[in-house]
Amino acid sequence: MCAFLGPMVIAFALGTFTIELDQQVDRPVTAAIWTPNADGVVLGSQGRVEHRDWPDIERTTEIPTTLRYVHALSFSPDGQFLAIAGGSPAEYGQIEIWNWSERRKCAEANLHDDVVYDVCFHSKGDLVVTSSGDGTCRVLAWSLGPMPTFREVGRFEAHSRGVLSSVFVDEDLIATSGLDATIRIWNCRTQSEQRSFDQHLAPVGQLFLFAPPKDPRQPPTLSPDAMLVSASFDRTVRFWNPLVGRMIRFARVPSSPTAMRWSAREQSVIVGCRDGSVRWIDPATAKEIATVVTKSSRITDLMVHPRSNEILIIGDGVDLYKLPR
Amino acid sequence: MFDVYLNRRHWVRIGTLSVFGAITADLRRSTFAGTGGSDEKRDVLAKADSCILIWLDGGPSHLDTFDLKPAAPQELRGPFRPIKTNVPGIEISELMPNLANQANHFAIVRSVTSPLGEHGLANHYLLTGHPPSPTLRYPSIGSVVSFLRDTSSVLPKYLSLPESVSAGAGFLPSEHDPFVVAGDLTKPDFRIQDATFYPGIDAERLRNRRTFLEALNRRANSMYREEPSSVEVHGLSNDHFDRAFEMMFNAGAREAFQLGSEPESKRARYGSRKFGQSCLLAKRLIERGVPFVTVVYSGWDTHDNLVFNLRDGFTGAMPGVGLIPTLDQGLSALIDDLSSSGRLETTLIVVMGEFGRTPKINNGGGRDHWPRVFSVAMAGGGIVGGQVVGASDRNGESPLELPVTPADLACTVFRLLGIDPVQELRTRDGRPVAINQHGKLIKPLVGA
Amino acid sequence: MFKLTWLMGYCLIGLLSASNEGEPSLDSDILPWMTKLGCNAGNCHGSAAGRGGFHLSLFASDPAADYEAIVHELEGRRIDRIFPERSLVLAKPTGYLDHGGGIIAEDDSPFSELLAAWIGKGAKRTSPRATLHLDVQPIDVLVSSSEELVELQIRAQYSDGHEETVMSKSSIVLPDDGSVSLVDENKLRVLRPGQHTVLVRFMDKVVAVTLSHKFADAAIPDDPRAVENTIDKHIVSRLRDLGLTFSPAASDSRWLRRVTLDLTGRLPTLDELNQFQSESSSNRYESVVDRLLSSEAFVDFWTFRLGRWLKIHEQPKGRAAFEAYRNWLRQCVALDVGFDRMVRELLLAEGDSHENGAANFHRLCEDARKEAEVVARLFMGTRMECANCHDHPLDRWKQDDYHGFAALFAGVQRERVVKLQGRGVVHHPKTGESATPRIPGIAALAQTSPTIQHFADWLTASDNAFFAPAIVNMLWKQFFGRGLVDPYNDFRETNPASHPPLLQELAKEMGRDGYRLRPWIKRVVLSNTYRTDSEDGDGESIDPRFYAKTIYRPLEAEVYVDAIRDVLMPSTRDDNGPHGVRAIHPIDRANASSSLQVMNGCMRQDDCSADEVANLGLAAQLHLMNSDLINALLTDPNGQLQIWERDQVPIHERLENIFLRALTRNPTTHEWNAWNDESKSRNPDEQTKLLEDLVWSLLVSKEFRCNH
Repeated sequence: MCAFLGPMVIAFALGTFTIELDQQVDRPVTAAIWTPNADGVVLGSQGRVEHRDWPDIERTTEIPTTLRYVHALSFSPDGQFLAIAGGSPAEYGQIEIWNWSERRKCAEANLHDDVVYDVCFHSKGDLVVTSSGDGTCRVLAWSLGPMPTFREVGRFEAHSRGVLSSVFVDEDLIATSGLDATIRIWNCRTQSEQRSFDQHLAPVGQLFLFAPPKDPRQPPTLSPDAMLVSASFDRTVRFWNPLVGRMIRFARVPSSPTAMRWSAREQSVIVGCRDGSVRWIDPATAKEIATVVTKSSRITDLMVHPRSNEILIIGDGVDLYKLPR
Repeated sequence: MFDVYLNRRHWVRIGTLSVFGAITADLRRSTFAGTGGSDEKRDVLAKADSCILIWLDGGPSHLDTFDLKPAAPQELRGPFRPIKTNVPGIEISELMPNLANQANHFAIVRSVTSPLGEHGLANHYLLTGHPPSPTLRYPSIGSVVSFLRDTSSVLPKYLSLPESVSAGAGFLPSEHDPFVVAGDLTKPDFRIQDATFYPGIDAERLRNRRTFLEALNRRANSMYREEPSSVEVHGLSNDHFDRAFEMMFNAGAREAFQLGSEPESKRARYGSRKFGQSCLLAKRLIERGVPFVTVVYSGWDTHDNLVFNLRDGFTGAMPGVGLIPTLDQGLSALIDDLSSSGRLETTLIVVMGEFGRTPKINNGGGRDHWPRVFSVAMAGGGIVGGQVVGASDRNGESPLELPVTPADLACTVFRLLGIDPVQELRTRDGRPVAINQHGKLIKPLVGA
Repeated sequence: MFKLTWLMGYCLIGLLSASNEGEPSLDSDILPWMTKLGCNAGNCHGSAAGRGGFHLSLFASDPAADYEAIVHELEGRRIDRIFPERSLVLAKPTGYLDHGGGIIAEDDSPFSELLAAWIGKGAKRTSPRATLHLDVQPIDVLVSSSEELVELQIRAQYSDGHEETVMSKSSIVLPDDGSVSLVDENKLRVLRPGQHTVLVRFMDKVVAVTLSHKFADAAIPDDPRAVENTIDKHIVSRLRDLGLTFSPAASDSRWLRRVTLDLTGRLPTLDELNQFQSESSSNRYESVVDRLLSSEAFVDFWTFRLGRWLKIHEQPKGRAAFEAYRNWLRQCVALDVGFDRMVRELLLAEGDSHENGAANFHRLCEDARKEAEVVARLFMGTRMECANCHDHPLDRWKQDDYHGFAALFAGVQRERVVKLQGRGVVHHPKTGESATPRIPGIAALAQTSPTIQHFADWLTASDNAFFAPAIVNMLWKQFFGRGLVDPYNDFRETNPASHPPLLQELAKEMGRDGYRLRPWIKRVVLSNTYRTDSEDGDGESIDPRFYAKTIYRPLEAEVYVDAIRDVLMPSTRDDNGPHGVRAIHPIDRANASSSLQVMNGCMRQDDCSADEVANLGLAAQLHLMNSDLINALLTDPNGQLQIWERDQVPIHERLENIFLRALTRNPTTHEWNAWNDESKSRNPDEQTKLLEDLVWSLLVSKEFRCNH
């Protein structure tokens, strides 16, 4: 079913290719993540979380979440627990923790005044950080026992508007970004802000660390060559050094970036855009090295398989494209 | 309501004809409060006899003056810290230590909101209380006061110093445009231009001129009429030169402008710059019966370098002589002077500009236009001091409590000045227009 | 591979029935309602920064962006695909969730139901739809009383061939509460006599509806003065429609003063007055006009007037350039060069601006955007500034027009030596890329991008819809105090002319006359409309835009100052007197004498149309009273008053003479009485001073300061 075959190798020599649709889902995807052992994907959409196997992407099971909107999915470092976050816009934000192997909900909390857009586990697994449309981030401690319970241990309120994305950049340091066009780096234990980047001119929707630790149970470390990558509706992708606190370089994309991932194989940043294109950007030069154009009018999300390096592209929320390695 | 205008004009006529009679009638209450029937005093508070509008032209930053956000993120909170005032719980900018000692005298409205973020349009809205209309130029608040208020003074009823302000008489006769006091107020011997007798001309000759001018204008007005009429030609209503003549006949009136007669120490207290001297002159004018004075203080359009523009004024200034310290010095001296003479109770002071500034500091270290929420300070003349009215949200982006529109502000000013805001004026083509539309009294400000 | 759930079913049906009538369309149903309810107005979500984090395009000018914002932004938080009525975009305006704008629609309002249905069907924008034509009936209607309701019919013709009545979802914008009101959703009640404009907005189309209400019901008899002349025909017929009387003609002397001031910026001399009054032939008016049009004074004055229109001014160290520019203009006026040629020369001039005067036009514009704005205002009578930041909400101009137009001028080098082919681009703020040059309103051509040359050709072509009306309207304002379209440089579909057919015919006639100034002026000043008397006969509240009578027009400050000197210092008439050149000579007010600055609130770089002596504030009054502007001339030994004094001219003669010089008439009995009352008890020396006082009064009187 994969219309795009062999020429991927050539693709990275520079060029633009069009790929064909593989499959459609019935409800726009708003969150996606690989399962811990990478044998399937978990997709979140309004009122639903489902597990599909890989590489067929046929639906296998549904996780009966009670969330009205699902905006983020995250597995605990040991792969035992799945956090599902979302809520009801302009009303409340919620998080649920599910025991993944048992498909059993073991904790839930309702703690924001707007939906939760992102959720992050600490590498030790004892803390989760939620980022919400209400402009706050909450640090929640939860016990690892059979019946986890949440306790809010801290709150970060420096963002002036909704927070969209978060990523740990060091053991206790987390970077968050949002509608206020800033990126803030703060300590999740003390909630003290270490530094902020405000060069973006529009909301910053995507963040990740280059390169992340191979084992999620290992904390990331702030090395001199670590790079924080951000994508914003100002149509730029910027590379930051979170250690010294400055922007290293930036790339302009012709259309607002709506999804961004790290591709280990090409050692490049993959950016999905509002015009339905997917662009490979070399972090060393900030130059675009390849482009793939989909039939969809926008890219909702991108996923790079941790072992096979196959890429799953989600377009318009409902169109699925597989790009083989 | 047509009668209001006609009565008023009829009166102008009488006032004009009584060439040497003092213009003394105070028709404010007798003519206007009663227009809708005898029980219509409801909309008039009439706490203030006069108003000084401190117009911060360009749009002052609410976040660096009266509505600081010390808890906001760094790129929002700005370079200045708040300080405590003499009213527990109220804090204002550290650059306003003198005003901080007078917080019991003034109220801060922190939730003023307007949709207009362009200078010209926003000016018009704040100065008139009406959003701009393509078909009608509304009169500024001062012009309406000038039109309705009669004073015993021969001084102009609406003055603007030391430069003109953008909104004028609108559809009202142009004599209600503000009289602009130009010239360098900071000079020791400042006086207004062209207000001394021309060599060889004395009061007697000016009286002759006035008589002839009356006769000539009467003809132009009544060529085809048996009776002299009060027809006003578009834009040319003030042909009688009344104020000008009266000012020449009245040395006391001209003396009002002589800042040089103030003791040096007093002039120094207001600050040596134009703004402080304008405040002092404004005080002299309202003491002599002028009902409305606008002090224009420009330069608040601080798109870059807040520290330099708002605090320092020039490089290395210690202490700063930028916009805010200068405002602090002049305004506090004015409040002090008026309160010690007991006049503050009947003098309404309004401190405002056309909008606030963006919470987020831009790349040039400045703030851009932000009309969605900003602050206005008011003192005296029926204002309950020592309070904050309304609130902005945590980053000073939107009103959080009690949103106040420029129409509400105008309504409140009118009512404090004893003018019924629902009263109608007539445009030149005869259309009735309410003095204030959609405005509501800001009740906490007046203790209601 | 498709899995059809119930929802997918909906989507498919949606796809299949996209053009069905039952299917709500975002473009032609939802967004017009949002416009009507004010959601996308400039003070709500339509503001540049949005509101409450939600931004819509101003008046739905960009439906694709609105679709993105409503459906996709922030992972689709604003719509609920499972329970459409719970969607944020519905729960806010209906008050289920706290909404900064308050409750603006009920649950069961057509808007709420359409929106819920649209979301229920998948919130698709399958086929973008444009309105090709908005048909509003009637668009020009006359009523006799406010009892007569005007029923509107509004139909839209869409790009997909569909057509429907859109009354309920159109926005009706009333001028103000006091003049027109809306009854039963589609009927208008005209509350006051006069002419009012109501705007009908649907999608990106705006149509102006003109409603006229009679002033009086009485039948107006035919007026023989509505002869073949285009102007009189239209003016008189409109007056009759409105039940207004056309004023009688002004006296000959008043007409002479009026036309002499308008054509030469000077008062008629006593000789000119006597000669005119001694003639009795019916073509005496025409011969006066011909004499004035061929005078040097006409060239001087119209160089001044057109110079003010073009905002010619002297820049620091720019004397030579300024002189060259003024000389070029003077030459054009002297030779009666047509406006089409003048404007072409201005647009296309290159080279040394000290020699080629017209090239200064480019130099006086700061940059490409400013130049585009100035060109649009002057030569198209239109204001494009709004379209800098967003599509013009009241006009046809899109952002692409503005920036594309500005891009035409991006290559202009504004140095002493002006070149048109320099490098330069204008960045389009929306795309961030350089804008493609284009002629406003004309879609960019595929092969070649237009140049200033193309624009000049297009602008001055005989079928151009902007140029001739803009020029005609500017000139009309000079003679009647206001434009047929007012403000005179604000032509918009939403700002219709007071007499549309008259404007069109005058524009055509101007084209036939080769766009020349003199034939056009001659036609105007010989019309009966120009000759009406200036005193009102119908009460004071008649709208001046119907031209029932001539209004008082304050003289330009320069003309006023020159007129004062002409009355008091006869030697200055030929520019040789002690006061040197006339005030109109420099054109540039920024460098003018302090008197002119006091007399005028505004400087010439500002676009102030009220640049006359109208607003005599106290400062100007004191100036006239106490400065030497008048006082010094009253006692100047070379002045007329002192010459008479030396020559012992009888005081009555002096007085009569000064009235004739200043007002072109004799003193009235009333004025004689006033003089006699004051002078009878005085000795001769005092009488001389008294006469000075009278003359001062004369020179500051309204009658003197105005043309009427």
